[in-house]
Amino acid sequence: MVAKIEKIVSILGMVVLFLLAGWLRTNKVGQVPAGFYADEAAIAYNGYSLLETGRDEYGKSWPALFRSFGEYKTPTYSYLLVPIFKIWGKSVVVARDLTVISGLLAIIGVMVLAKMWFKRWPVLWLSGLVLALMSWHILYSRSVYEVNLALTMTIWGVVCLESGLKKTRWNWAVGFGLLAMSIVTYNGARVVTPLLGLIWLILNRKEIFSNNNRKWVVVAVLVGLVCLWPVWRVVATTGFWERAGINIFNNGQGNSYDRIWEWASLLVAYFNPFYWFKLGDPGGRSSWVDLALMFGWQLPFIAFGWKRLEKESNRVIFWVVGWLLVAPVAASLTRDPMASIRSLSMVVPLSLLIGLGMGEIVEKYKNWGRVIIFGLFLVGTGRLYLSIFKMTDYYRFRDWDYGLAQVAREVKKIPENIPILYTGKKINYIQLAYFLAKPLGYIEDNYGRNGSDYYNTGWWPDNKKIGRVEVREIVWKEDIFKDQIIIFGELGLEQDQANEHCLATVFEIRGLDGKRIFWGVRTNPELKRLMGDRGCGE
Amino acid sequence: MRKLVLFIIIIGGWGWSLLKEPSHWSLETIFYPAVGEEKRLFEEKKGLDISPVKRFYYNKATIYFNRYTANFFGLLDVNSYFFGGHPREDVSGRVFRPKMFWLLVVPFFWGLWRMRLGSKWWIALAVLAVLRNPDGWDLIMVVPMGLIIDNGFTNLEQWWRRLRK
Repeated sequence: MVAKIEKIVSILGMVVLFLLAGWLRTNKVGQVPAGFYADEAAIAYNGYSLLETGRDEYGKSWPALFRSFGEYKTPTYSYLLVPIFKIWGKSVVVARDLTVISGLLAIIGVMVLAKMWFKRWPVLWLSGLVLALMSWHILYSRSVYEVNLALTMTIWGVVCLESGLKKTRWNWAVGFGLLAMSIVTYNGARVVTPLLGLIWLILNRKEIFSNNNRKWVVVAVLVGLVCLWPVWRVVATTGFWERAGINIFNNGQGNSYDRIWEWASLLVAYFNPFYWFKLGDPGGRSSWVDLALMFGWQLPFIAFGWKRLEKESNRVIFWVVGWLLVAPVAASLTRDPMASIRSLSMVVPLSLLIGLGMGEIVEKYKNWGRVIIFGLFLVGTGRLYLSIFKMTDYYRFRDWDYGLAQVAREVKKIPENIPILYTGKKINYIQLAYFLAKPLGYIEDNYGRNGSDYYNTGWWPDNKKIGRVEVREIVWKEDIFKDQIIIFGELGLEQDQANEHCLATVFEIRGLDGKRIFWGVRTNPELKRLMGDRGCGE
Repeated sequence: MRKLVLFIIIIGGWGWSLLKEPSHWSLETIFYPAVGEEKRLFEEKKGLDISPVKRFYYNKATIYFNRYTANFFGLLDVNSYFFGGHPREDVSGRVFRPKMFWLLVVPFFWGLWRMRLGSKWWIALAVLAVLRNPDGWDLIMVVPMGLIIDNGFTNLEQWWRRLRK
């Protein structure tokens, strides 16, 4: 009877956990974060372009890397969007749903790891709950970034490698395949994933290289190599190594000692409670308002978890500490302090440590422990609700390029014979292309089908054209004398200038703080010529 | 002997920084009225939601709570102890002084393994965080930091011996 009740409670708990995790990730996913940032739009647009034409925005047929803004984006997210857009259609919600699903799978993966390593149900539940309510993980589970996809592949890759030690060795092949795919999916994984593989290799070297298992190792390695096929295609190009150029040892100032000091300070920041619980990531798109990476009340549980970890087997200690140490290695090589996106993999060992610490409290204080932890999670959920759904958009909508969907809607209303000039941020061309749903045919003249140099030049033209919409800087002396509609960004045009150049308002887009963020105006060349420098007055 | 040398190194570096750039040693607490940007932001955030949930998180105690947690976690800022606050010297309201030789960060992290710090140090930390500007008073952290670094050297020594075997 008791076992039956426990089973029912477990199932109910699982349902509640996933309802909560799902709600925090799916609720208003199309509107929060408000806007659709250029990187998100580039990934989504290239998926859409592949679906429509079999080519990317530059006209390259099924590329292994997307040149995008010249920084060469990894391909997996865009490729996965092809069938998804085909089935459910193209929208911000659909594009972000892939990362939502990926985030939920990551939670299950962490729970499986907790069960395999700590063999205690409370730790399984609590680790899952910690990740489900971790603001760090929620952010990247609600926005189109490859990193979350890669993280889920890494987690499940490790799950397969670990389970392959006990069950069927075929899991190794799946694990190698997933880990290889994580490398294809996210640049940072090129450093972190092999290091995790090395941990597994060191811990299980005797078993892996025993005579019985050799053939399985060969199969797994072969599967991994095949899954790395997109990498082999481009490994010798400058595009593949483009992101490696941002590391401080390539770009740093000062001598070697200064650079090592700089790198050490950046690395230490990833293990700094001040950054974890108070500062977070300083980037506007990398955090929620008034929320750091984790809740401050989780600090003692990390300490309890750390203490409890000492009692675990050397194998488990090596995995958890090893993962924690290798996760920020790639991130620490870049100059950004506490780059939460590049160090996302840290959420796994941190969730496990906090879960372990909480499990200790539950086991020690029984019902009181449960009540305290339930209360803390309740407080945490309320905090997440306020920050994510009520506050972040008001302060961060500019960071997420809010308003371009509305601009595209206004553009569609303008008669086809009127040319349009967009003078906002250069990078916004991709959002306009996405929201205007212009297939490649409209912009191929601007980008050319320069396939041979595609992976090497990093060429990113200044002036773009999406159908009749030109995206470039305004040339005042010429553009006001052409009959057209000019769209300005927030700081692009003052009322005085509009009067001076006889520009008439066609539409305005306002931000969530009520301020005008886009302003579409119609030129009047004849009147401007007539009025000259006097302008058109009020 | 090692403890003594360590203590001299740490207190020497830290003390030197205090001599070079003296602290105000202020005993003013975080319970001062909010003005300017702090107040404006608080009022703005309070106005963004009207649900009862908001009242729990944005009320009279919020500003003090935020100041307290900023100080508390600021006192745990490893980068401020070893790197003079680098790479986030832009955080306002904090004094960044290099307190210890940065390479001591290695035994410091190593020392966190199997380290037992008495609760008195956590209480000291909690009390220090009540001060508006704990700079200078945080010198008290020399002791727990030194103990952790010392433990780190012990752990490193043991690890090295095991490795040689």
